[in-house]
Amino acid sequence: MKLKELKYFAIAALAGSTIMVSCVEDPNSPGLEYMPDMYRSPAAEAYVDYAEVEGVFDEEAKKLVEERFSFVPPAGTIPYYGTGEGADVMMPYKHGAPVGADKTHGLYGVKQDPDGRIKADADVNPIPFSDEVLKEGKKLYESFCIHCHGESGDGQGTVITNSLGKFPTPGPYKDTLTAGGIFWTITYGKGAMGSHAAQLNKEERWKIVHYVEKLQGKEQGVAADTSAVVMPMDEAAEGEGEMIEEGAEGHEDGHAEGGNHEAEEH
Amino acid sequence: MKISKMFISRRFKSLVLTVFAFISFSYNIHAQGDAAKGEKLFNQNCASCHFPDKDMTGPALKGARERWIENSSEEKLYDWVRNSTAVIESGDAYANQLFSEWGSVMTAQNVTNEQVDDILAYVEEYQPPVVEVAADPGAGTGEEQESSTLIWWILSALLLVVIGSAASAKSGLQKLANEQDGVNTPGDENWMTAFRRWAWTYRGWVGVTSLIIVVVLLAAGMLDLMKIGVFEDYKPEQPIAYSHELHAGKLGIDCKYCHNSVEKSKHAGIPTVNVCMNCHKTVHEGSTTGTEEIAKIHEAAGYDAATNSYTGETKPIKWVKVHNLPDHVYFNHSQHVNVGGLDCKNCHGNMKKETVARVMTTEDLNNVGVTDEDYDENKVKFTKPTLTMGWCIECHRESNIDIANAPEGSYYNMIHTRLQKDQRTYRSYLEDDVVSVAELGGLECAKCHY
Repeated sequence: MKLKELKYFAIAALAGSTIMVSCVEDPNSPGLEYMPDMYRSPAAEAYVDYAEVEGVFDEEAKKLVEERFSFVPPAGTIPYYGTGEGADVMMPYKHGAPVGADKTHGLYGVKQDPDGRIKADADVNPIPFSDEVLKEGKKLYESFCIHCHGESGDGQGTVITNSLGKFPTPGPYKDTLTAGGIFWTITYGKGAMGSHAAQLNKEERWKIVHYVEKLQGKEQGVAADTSAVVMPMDEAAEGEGEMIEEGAEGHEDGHAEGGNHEAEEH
Repeated sequence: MKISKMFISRRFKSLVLTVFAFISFSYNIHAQGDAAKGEKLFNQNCASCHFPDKDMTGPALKGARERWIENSSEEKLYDWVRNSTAVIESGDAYANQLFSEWGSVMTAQNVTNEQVDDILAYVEEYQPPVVEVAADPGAGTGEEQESSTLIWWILSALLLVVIGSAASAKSGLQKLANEQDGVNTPGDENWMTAFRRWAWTYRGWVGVTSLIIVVVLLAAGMLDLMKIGVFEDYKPEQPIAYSHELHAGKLGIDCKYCHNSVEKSKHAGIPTVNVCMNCHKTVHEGSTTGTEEIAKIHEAAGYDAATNSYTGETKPIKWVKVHNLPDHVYFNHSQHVNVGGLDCKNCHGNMKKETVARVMTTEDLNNVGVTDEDYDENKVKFTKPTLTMGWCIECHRESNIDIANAPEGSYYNMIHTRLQKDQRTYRSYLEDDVVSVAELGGLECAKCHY
């Protein structure tokens, strides 16, 4: 009799403790929200899945989110950077990507031109050289290039040195690389390097070009005379070329919603 | 005389022969190449497009000499390295096959035949570095913690069993004693009335104990209510097991490389898959997860790792949002980074030691620069949980603005000019010698709620 009671008691205690243990916090749950509809409201916000509104999970809304959450800008769109001085730096780039760039670098729908790289060589940096620009270029280089190309541009960045041969060294700078050539390479990528047009707008790319030229040891500030500067913008870009070019740079406005990702609710 | 002449010429002949033999011998050495010299040349000229043992932008270089000898000629190999376009145009079948297969012309290299030999010697000798398998300390401790809580639960359950059996043994003994003493326990008494009787007998103790229980429950309830809307330590599982520790820590990639809209937008931005592909086009195998996780990136980007080309069939990656703010709160990254001059670590802690994103706790933020050496210490020490209003306010109260040295034409420079015209307000701000964010309206409701 006593033994039986004891048994029941022990079973109950064990079951109780198992339930308690299983209540340990679920890492996939953010926890209790005060008024959850304020966290997941019908109002449009980036990176928020609207499929769940006021606790109701809407299949149709979910479909809409999956199909239309990340928009690629409409064909022919160019980012607006005002009309002020230097805004024309942002005009579409006139040189095409290498042939086959859609297959090798995923530049879908980007204008291709077998001579693009050669034509780009003649471009002159439209941003006048100044110490300020050099400083900004250095800052950008340190965020976007240094981990592969290294502090001095010798191709010994931390990604190369710490990845046990998994990543190829970009090699040291070739002295033959011109300003336009550097810009072209950042825009479309080359070999193992991908296109960085989505991460850096044209102004930033030209600033980096100034800094890279400093690393090359080239004389700086020669092209500072703006009257001599040939703007590398596209006079004939009002057709397909322009539209295609923006396809590659659709994320420039900083919202970074490409066609390739979306946030999901928890 | 004649004999001596003959002798000389014979000696001369043998000398010529030895020299010739020596030259041809050394030529043989050249044909083998010098791997040490080759390594340097390879890294300078070839490594950005070729791996010795794997295909990349160009084919793996191991066995290149044999392939050329088999399909074309060795001479053409040297020509190809120096000027591949010319070889293609000469109509060489193998060269044209390579061109159509790889889709791009190899950059002409300014190297001699000997240097090509050196490079190929290095390539043939190349052995991939041995990857040391690092023990994962994080996984082990997590499990340990979980099992230790389990142990506590089991111990307390055992304790309850002991108490329960002791109590029932006691009541049995009591019953026995009562029967012996001739005291009758009322048989029809149910457990409720028995409990009431018992409670009345020990009313002092019962009263004090119930009061303590009520107070404890109220306090526990209050503390739990305080956790509503607090997301500290929220670390959801993500579709791809990305590691900040590896990318930002070991490989030293700047936060802004991936979260590149942090200076331009309200959002720091989740990187688009093309940013991942900037490296993972080449790196197909991770050091801890192998090809499994990186294959997910390739699937999303529409990249066929087998043929090294994009297919155009993309698929979204459904990342889970970690840092949620309610709809009635406005927060802007670019304001805090550009104008406020904050660093990522001020609010996100040391991500160099984390795998997937996590809402850092107050403790983590206060430990930045104290228990680790990746960053400097944060100036503001927090007491309120992260991502709550109290936490924002704390920082707005304690952070100061160097308004007098704000750059010309900036927002704070404008306010400084205005304050100089209103010296009384300026002096009241400067009572503690600094202008804080709060003094410039950092606590105004409408700054963040509208």
